[in-house]
Amino acid sequence: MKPHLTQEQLIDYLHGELAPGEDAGVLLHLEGCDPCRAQYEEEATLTESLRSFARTSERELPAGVRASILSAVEASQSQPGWTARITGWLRPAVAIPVAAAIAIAVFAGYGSAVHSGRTTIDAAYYLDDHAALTSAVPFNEGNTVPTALLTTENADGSQ
Amino acid sequence: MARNSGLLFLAAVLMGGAHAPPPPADLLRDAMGAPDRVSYVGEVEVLRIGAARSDTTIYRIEHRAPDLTRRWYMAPQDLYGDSVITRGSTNYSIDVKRERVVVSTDEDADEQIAARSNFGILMANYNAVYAPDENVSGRAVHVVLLNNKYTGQTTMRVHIDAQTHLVLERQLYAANGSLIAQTRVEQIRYTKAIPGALFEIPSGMTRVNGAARGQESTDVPQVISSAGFAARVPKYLPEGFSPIAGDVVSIKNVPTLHLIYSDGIRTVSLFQNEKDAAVDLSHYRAIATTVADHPAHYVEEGPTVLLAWADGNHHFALVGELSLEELEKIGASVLP
Repeated sequence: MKPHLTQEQLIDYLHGELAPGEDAGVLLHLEGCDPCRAQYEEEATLTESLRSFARTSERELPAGVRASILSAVEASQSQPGWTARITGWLRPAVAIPVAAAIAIAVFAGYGSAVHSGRTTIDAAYYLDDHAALTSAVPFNEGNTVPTALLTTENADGSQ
Repeated sequence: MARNSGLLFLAAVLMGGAHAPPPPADLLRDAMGAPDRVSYVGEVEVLRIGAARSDTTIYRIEHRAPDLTRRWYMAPQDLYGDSVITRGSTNYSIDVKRERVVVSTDEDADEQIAARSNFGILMANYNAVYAPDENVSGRAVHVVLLNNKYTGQTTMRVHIDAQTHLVLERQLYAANGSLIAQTRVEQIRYTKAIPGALFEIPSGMTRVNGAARGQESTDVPQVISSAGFAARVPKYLPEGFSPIAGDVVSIKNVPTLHLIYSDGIRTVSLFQNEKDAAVDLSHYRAIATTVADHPAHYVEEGPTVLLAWADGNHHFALVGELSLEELEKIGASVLP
């Protein structure tokens, strides 16, 4: 009885990476060895499930996206002039909530730096940088989620 | 520790010659290198517990040794479907909702080396002792407790696969003994049959560069002198903490110095600039406090606290998994 196949041989066989002679030898062995056949089937199932997972997690651009972009471009080209937009902003239904939002921001005290034109640095940058660099400490994996996936700001850190 | 090791060895002999585990420090050292040689798939659950808010992240992981990793996020809901592919030191954050791939280099390889060199700091400040073996995700694990030498408190529990030495679970505790973070690998399956296609970056998405990150150096005095302004350092640090790295990075044209202090498990970052660039806390629920009579604000992100204050044009941010009281104490010692 020949020795059982190694996991490397089975994986290479699964991916068709064996030389023709060795490939035939593995096939022959699998036909006559139940333990190796069971292991082969287990590996084949896992490989197929991983491939299926990879396929399903790839996203197609939804069919309606192109149409919605084109209609958004058309809409932007037919926008009203600046006088009409200012008039719109002065309508009570818009002006009152905007004034309330500004008042809340001023009361909170944090909006002032942002609106005064002074440079500010988002706290998210510090939190992210701290988490990233803690991966230099043993048994600390650093960021489990990159900020790029969490924030709405530009990827380069600007807002 | 020696008594525990002796008892474990005796138990192993009585159980019929089973292999006694190596000394806990050796096992920890070996566990740090396990991802370089072990390929696996599984599901990772990360729990971070804060005083005001806790959060859970769940992702599917496929790791092909030594350096290919894919994380596919299932929770929180905002992240569902997003993924991060790590190829060596480059991260590709695949944001399916915004149809973009954010590419960043975080010098993981260097950080792995740094983590190994910081193992000495860990061993200087913590005693590693075995707790009784357990079972995680159907795998037998050795459990190593890291007890702070100054307080005697267990700061971390590390559950290490008895066969592969991969870390399958770890818990981080606050100074008062409460759990503040836990990472656990479920449904672990070791295999080398992970198709390379899983680590391919999807085409058809916009590629953008991630935020620039400074190249940190362990030569902290040199980093401080290269800041371009009169940098300040804390006169007080909790016992066992020492500077381990630093960098200077330009954020919106503001030179910002980042110094990192650690005791081998816990870390504190001190950021500072002298260009009057305040910390923007508008996206967070900030709470007012003081740092040595200076107005300050802090925010909590799970167990991480960010404390921000200014002294004239000199702005500071301290970030760490320490209590607010400890951070305020460190902050007060930064002021002249």
